[in-house]
Amino acid sequence: MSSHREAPGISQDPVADSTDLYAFVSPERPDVVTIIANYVPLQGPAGGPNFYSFGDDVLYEINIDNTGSGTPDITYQFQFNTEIANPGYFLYNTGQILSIDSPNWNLKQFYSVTRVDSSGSTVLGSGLPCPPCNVGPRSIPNYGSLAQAAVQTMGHGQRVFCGQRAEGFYVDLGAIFDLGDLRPFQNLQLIPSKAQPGVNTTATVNVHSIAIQVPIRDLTADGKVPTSVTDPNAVIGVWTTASRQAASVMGRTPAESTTAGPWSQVSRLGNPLINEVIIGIGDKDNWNSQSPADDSQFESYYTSPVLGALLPVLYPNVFPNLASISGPRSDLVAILLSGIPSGIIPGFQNYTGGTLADELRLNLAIPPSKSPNILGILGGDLAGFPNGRRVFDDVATIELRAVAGLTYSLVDSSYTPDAAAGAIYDLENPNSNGSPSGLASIGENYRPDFPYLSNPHSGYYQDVPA
Amino acid sequence: MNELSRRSFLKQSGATAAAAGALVVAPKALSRGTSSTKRPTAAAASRATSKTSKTSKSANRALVAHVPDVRKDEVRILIGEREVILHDRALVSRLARAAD
Repeated sequence: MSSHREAPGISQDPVADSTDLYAFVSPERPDVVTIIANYVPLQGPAGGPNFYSFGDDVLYEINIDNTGSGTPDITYQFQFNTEIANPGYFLYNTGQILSIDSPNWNLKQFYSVTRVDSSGSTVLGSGLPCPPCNVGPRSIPNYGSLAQAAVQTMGHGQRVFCGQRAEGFYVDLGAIFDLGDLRPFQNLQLIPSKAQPGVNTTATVNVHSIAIQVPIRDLTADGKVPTSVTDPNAVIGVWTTASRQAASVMGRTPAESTTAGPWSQVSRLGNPLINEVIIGIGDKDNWNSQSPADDSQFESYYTSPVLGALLPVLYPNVFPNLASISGPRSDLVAILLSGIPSGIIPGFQNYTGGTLADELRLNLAIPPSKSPNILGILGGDLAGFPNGRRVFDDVATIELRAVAGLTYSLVDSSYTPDAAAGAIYDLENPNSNGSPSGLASIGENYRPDFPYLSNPHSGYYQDVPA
Repeated sequence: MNELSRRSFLKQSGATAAAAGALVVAPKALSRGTSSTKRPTAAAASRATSKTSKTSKSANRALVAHVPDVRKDEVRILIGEREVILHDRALVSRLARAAD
């Protein structure tokens, strides 16, 4: 998955487990950037009576690097607290929830938002309500309008939403973790079987989203809205982290339990799938604890990706040119660790300098695409991944193709990618239909406006045949 | 979906701190067993937290003392969102004896 349960340690701590990160210039508000950090993976919608929530003892952060240092110049902090209305009652709700402040909602969660930058800390909002989880139509008959009431404004054009959403990331987990199988091409696999359509394993699960919209001028180093793609101040790097306090003590009763000490980072996410399929399993939890500024220690995983060596083995005779690459994968280093310099892709750059740092880099001078392609830059759409990431971008296919050698010619003009590198995909063939609307066929639908990810799947309807 | 042959597939265009630790919890303050301890004479260091949040979830008065290695003199005091590092061999010894 993008970063769901990607490391042994964090897989045991779902509320602190970052799953996906998105950053893009907002299509309906092009002077504003939307950043979405998802946590709490693979939620079965019917998972009550204690439905999912953020961790009250977790510090969630969205970090912005606008100087290329690999360290945050701006951080948005999110902290949550849960309130129980009726401790004597045993269910999530004591009746219908018809409003965001319904007294029938027994287990509410609220949060604060704090911006930290060179001028200090500023509380942007506190006591902000999360929406309830989507229990079912009897409990919450008008879920959509109720959840939209949880979109909060914080002044200066900033908006925020924290709560349950439908998973927007799509992938065939069952196949990919079965020795790197891709169902549409499994007739070519080392252990072949009849080719089949991919299965979107995440089509019916939910996540918890921390979504914020911030004016571009509030994120750039010079406080301006960049108009030139080549403006060095046009590029920001984004990553999310979750931290827990150094000590957690279980008392004899919950009232005696305590946490104390500084915050220790336990989860990190910039580019999708990095800790998942690039970093070695022995380093994954360590990677989660590190700052992007220190990512040069992991460079060899990028220059010699294990997946790149496995593909020719798992798909015999399909990737002969990939198998012949002997040099370092400088293309992956550029795409994922430094940004792509000017002069490589016409009309594009997201280079942030010599510091190797896993950040989701976004060139803010590139406007939203009127005809987005889920392959992003590989599909000729400069407003998509790896220029930031939109909710519908097919990052699994993009990164699979990149690792398969499709982008190696960016750094070695004599290299000819294998034809398969431009043909493989995970679920739906983006070469046939690159439109986000085509993803409806695999169960993925998105909102056209904030917070872009759809209403969460209902517990009542989980696994009910259509 | 039609099963792709290897040939057609290939033809498709390619757009191009390992030490054992001791953990001591003192709900109010360092336990009375250390109350007679002289103030540490060794240099006491405190370090700023790398991250601070606006609203601490540990607004209570609990304090945690962490001794990473009872053979050494370091005591890490965790309170609120802060960590204070003491170097006090006598305190470490007293805590270790109390834990025996």
